[in-house]
Amino acid sequence: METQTISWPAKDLSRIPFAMYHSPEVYAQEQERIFRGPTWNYLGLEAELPSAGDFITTVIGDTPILVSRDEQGKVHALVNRCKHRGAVLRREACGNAKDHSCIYHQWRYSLAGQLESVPFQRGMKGEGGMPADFDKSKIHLDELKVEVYKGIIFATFSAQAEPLLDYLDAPVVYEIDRLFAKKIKVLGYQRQRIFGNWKLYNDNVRDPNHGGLLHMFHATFGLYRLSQVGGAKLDRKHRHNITFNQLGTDDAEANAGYSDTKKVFQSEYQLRDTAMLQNKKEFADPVTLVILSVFPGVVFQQIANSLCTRQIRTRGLNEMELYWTYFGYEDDDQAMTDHRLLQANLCGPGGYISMEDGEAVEIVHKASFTAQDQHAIVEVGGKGEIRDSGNLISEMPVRGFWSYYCELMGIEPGSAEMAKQAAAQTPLQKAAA
Amino acid sequence: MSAASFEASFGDYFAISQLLSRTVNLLDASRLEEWVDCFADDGRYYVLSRENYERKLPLKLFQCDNKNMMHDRVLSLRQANVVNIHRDQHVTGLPQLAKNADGTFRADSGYALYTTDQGGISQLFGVGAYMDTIRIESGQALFVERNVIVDTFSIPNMLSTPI
Repeated sequence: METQTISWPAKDLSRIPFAMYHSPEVYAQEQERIFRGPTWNYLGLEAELPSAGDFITTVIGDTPILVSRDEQGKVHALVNRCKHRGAVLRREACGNAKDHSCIYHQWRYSLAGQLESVPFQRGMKGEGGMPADFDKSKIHLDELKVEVYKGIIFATFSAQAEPLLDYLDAPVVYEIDRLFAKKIKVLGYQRQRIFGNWKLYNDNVRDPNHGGLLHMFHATFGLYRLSQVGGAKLDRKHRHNITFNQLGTDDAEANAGYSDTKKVFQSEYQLRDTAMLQNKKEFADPVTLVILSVFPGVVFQQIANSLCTRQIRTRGLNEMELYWTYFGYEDDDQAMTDHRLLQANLCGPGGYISMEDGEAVEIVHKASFTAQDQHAIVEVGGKGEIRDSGNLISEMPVRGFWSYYCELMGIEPGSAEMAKQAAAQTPLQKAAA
Repeated sequence: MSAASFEASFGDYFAISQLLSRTVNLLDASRLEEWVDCFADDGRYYVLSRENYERKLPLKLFQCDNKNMMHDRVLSLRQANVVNIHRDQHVTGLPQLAKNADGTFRADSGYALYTTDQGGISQLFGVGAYMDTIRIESGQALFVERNVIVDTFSIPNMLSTPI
């Protein structure tokens, strides 16, 4: 394994080394220190497993996770891996079961993850089977700590993790309370496979600036313009981000900022059917767009009446999947459900205002590969202190993501020596030594 | 499907086959404005994942409840969206036909869709099935409803052009 020195020239994280998106050592370290570290990871929604015995399978980083509701109604997050030979235990995306059995040798676990039986444990006629000292009561699937807040299931691998609500912090909790004030119902899923490093998508959702420049549909049809009332709010550690705006708050003078762009802002085009663009006011405040990104791998979205979660699933160094779960509220009437479904045209892999994100991630991943000694420039919205932004012309939350990322990874930006030391401690290098 | 209950003239079969091949050929040639004309005035177009279809979840990938929405998709692709630069190539299977009580036809067929980039490298974008309702008037077949069930529902990069 080649030793790679990654330089972090800017203490304020206004320079991000491109090598961070391409280093296999960094990727292995992230799985350990970020995903299996003291972070809270989104697993799904309680509405997806309402009854005892219901389960879903998902991932935290690359690790397969089985979310299982036991007979008492408690939600367990278990590593989806049989303790016998390491096989995937539950292969289905979701289902209902009385227990979880491995297909390979039929080791059977309770809904809570406790090993309950092993076929032919005592062998036959005194021969074969498990040794006398085999104690199945001591074998339990690897279990994570779970906290459920407003029907959202989070889990952590680490005993050192802060309590969930401290981790999320007040501004994020406020947004979750707002979006999940009522019981939800799931409307369906979308998946988008993006051939780029998972952090590039985290950068993307923490960059309100691109929303009104890349997503031309947004700007063309007035849903989101950089000239509208909006901004970005951060938690105390700057690891999460809330981008918000209010449509219809722009005017001709503010829109003059688009005069240098070609094609981004075009006032002459009209949709023939504008039903999709309508916002049916359902929140007390005037906010029509919230993109709430929670470190390290989930986004909660309100775009007008289109509500969903987006889980970032790593698929190796060079690939990720976005897993979109769309929802409405249990008390929606049919007309509101139909409206939400129609408005889902805006988002997802085929979304009018989101389809470009896959392309943006891919072109950065592709071209930055050959510039691993260079750095991304992150200065929109200002340098220095990381803080909330009072408008959308900012990418400051990107620096917030990286500041907490560096804290967990043991990187001290602005100090090349520190970066070298961090690289020297990767598990792969230890193994090679 | 009961074969005995089904009668189609060669003329019907020919009209339906022409519609099915014309639709994908127009998409492959990026003649999207003309693709919209493959639909009847009351036509609908839906792209949905196999995952949602089998779990009876209503969410689509594309939902065009009328032809205006199809026109809007095309307008946005032409004028607003930034798409991955590519060319489409559909490969479709023969349709299995049945006649509905209202005189329309149900046509089921399979597809594979390859995309080719500017460097001449082709990749499988996805496979799936068309489940169509087709009306024949004056010898011309048009879609009343086209449902595209996407087996490859983890969409690579983006879903920009219709399938």
